[in-house]
Amino acid sequence: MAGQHYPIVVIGGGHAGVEAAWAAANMLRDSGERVALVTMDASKIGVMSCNPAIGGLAKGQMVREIDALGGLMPRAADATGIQFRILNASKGPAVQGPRCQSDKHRYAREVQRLLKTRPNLDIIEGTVERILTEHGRVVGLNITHHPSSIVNLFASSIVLTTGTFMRGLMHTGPRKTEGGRVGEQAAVGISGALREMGLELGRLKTGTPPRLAAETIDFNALQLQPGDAQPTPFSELPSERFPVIEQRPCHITHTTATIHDTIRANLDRAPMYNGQIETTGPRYCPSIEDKVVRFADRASHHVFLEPESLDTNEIYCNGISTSLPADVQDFIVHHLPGCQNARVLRYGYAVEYDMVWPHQIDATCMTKKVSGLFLAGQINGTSGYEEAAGQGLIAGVNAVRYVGKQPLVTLRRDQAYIGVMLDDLVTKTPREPYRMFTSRAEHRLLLRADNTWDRLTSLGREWGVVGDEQWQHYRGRCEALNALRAYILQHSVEGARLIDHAKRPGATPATLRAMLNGDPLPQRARDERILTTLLADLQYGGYIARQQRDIERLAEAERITLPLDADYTTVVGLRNEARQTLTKFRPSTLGQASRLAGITPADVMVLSVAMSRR
Amino acid sequence: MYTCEDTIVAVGSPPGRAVRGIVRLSGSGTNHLLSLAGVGVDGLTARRMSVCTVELPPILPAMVATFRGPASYTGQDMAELHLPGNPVLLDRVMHRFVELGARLAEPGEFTYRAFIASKLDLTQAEGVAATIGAQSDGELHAASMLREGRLGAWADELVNGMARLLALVEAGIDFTDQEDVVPITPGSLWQRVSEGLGKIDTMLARSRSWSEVSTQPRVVLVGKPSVGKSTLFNALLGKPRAVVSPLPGVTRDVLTEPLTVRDRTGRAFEILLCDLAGLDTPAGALDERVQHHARRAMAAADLVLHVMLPGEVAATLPGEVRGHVLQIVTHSETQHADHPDGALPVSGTTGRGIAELQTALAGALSDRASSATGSALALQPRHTSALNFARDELLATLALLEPQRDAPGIAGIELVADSMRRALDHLASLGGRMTPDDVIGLVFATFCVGK
Repeated sequence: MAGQHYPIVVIGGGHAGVEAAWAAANMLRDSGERVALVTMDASKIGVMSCNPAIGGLAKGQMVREIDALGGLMPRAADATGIQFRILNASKGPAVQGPRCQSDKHRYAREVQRLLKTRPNLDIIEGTVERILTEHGRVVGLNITHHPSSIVNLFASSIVLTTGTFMRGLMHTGPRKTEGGRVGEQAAVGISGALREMGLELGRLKTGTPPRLAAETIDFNALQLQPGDAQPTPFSELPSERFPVIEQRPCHITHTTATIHDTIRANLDRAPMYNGQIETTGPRYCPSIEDKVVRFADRASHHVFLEPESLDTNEIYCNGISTSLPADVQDFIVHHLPGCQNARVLRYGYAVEYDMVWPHQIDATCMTKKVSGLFLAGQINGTSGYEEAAGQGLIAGVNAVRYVGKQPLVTLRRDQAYIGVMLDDLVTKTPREPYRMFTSRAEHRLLLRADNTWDRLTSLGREWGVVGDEQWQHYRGRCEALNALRAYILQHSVEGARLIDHAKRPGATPATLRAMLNGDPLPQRARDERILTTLLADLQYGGYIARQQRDIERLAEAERITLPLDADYTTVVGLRNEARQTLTKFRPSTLGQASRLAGITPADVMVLSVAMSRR
Repeated sequence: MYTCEDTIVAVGSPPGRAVRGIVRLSGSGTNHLLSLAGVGVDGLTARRMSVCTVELPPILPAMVATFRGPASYTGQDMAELHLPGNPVLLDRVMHRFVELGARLAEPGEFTYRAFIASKLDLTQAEGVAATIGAQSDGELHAASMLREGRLGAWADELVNGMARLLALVEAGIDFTDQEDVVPITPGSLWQRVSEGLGKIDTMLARSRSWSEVSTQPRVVLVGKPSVGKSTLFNALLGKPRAVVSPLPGVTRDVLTEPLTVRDRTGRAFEILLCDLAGLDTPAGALDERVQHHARRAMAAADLVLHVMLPGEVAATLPGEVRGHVLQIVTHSETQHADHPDGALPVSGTTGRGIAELQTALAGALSDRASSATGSALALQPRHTSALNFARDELLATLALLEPQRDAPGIAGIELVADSMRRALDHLASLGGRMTPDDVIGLVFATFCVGK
């Protein structure tokens, strides 16, 4: 293997890494070129380190976007989900988010199985120590191969996805353990290697709750949380059966005043509060000690008991993420109703890890300093499997395009949540791990879970990540939608045109389907997804038209590119603060520049004048 | 933000009254907008002035010059309408084009377009940046009225309040699966959005348009009938403009004349002097209308000359005043009796005290900028426009909420959020930038979110 050349090497087998490797392998399937995925432990590829769930509000939309772009995550999630729910089902289609509980062991196995179906993808075990560059371009990497031999790989581009492993440090009370996950090593050398390349590193923190043994919990005493009666898959690709495996409910318990008192009494032993951890964690995923301190007036918080697998007894305690010492965690668990006798299988912990401040990449995921080096996932300051996967996909696509000397691609804010995320990452410095919310998207009514194929699949086809089967299925969708749009204009029921029925509030796919008795319609026109898209487009019609006008108005600023080597200090008329911000972020477009904090419309005006003078 | 696709409009002449004022248009829709405004275009020869009319209504006489792109200043189709140089009129014509689909130009935007079209050379290009700087300085002048005059602070407060409300709505979208997120009810949101709308309405009602401020200050003569206001008016002008009669109630309409006055340092001020009907209890319907007009003129004035007879007790003025008040005692040629402290003795007949009055008047106006901000803010067209857009969005929000005020949860919550977000963006253009991140931050500060 020594000295072997790969055009693309993906480092890391987490959700960003596998998506990058999958996309790259798909794009290169007929080229004879191979992709390498380097990971410390091949059996840990696709592991769900934290919550055994995929999707949710905004995140579910991203999983569907990944589906539209031929990605891996929706396939693995559909095959291994044990509970499917559409969140916000009672609200409008733009804010509904599909989510599933996954059998985390089967999920990882399914990811590994799918990767094996790609004959041009090699999985290599090892730890990356150095990235080799020449003249600011990636040329290869050094891997410590088990047990301790060093291997060189030549590579034209590298997708680096370190997750929580880069100088990972886990905290449970005063106990500190180096590692990215329990029982696994940290990657130490890579931090220094990145610094040597001139990249500025930061440190973030996240946490995970204790896992309990299912047989020691009295579920009968607890409230049941079932999945949807009619489960909906993430992927729009046809499947033989769904759901694939047995479905399981979740249960809900809650913390008590006694638990809160004990947490308060032990705050000096919490690494978050005694100064042992200085980095800030995510506000949207607070530890239980955070909740007790910040919302002192609340006497109780929900705790969701989520099964992690059909085959094992592990129960994930969603709601009590903590880094308190083990004895306090035992106390907390034993005072949760239904958990008096519960046995802790694994204690919760907080983990600190190195990341690269994302102003050093652009929206293609490539670093501005080193050509051919792409970053994706937690290394860019995000949190969440879906966020990681979305970046992985873009990084994988661009790594291949970079090697093929094609222009790199980005997604716009009005095209995809993935586009919103990458634009946010390159225009703002995250103070906490970045998570997607629907409220981050100004074009929320357009960026729906139901229309991701309409938004992205033809783009994915152009990029080469959408295969023939998906492409045929997409064409069928377009035909069905077009036929349906024509049909509802021409046909009436009960004296009103179908389009008018469809525009009424309260119209659902089911009510509309009941009105479709026409023969000329393709079978797909009765599909839930097609009807949902049709209805949503009609019901949001005026709003979408308005958002479309906004998009057009802003489009020009997005088209004006700024050179990476621009010298902002010499631009006449720019304020000093603006010069500094622009020099730090080096935005790729005038639109990005306008979204930087501290950049005023006047600065953008001065800049645009200066730039069009080039 | 700086698209060149749409058609922009602005008053192209300096603020203030002049013989002629110019409204400029640039963009591909220029000719279409002209025809919508009733300006004949077909017969127009490019780069030549033509006589035309503009349907405001009323129908205004004007001259128009059209320029076909790319042979124009901006490289786009352009037009210049030359109109009577009344700033209020120019403002209305400009807004008429906005109604018809044009967008108010940002400072320097015509030059920006010229630059994009490579119409300016390098030296001029550098000058553009300087021009923009100068315009910011020009805005500094507005800022002394606006930011210090509390528009910024006012907008900040409104933006913060609206962002908090939007956070409550967004929490009901993004965190519904969370334990303690109780979404705001439609009734409560309706109530609080209405309050916000009320604040915008009050601001719009109390503020003056920028052109109003940048024109000559209005000085009005106010007093009971037959105290000699019209005599004083003529004396100040130095010509018999108003009909003077010993009978009360002769002056019925508001008479307005320009006048130049100088303060002690010799600085000249051009003012508009207005003679009003005597303020008294109205005797009939016609009288009532006359009185109403007089009161309105008084309320809008920058300086009120309160004219009294000797011995008259300095009663409070009958109505609202926002400008300074100078007290004047007339007929001082016949009597030298007591008059209120600080009142100026003046005789319109003999000319006694007229020079002193002019100086005092100029002095009172020299700090007009600060006095004007006392109770009312001067808004530039951009501000009024942003407030009106925000207002429309809040009205749309209320329309969505109105039918469901008693419901427990908000139906169409994503549409409500869309309108509120737009309102917030418009308000934020007046000060207090609010990003989605900030709104999400407010959610975290309010709720315990996170499983």
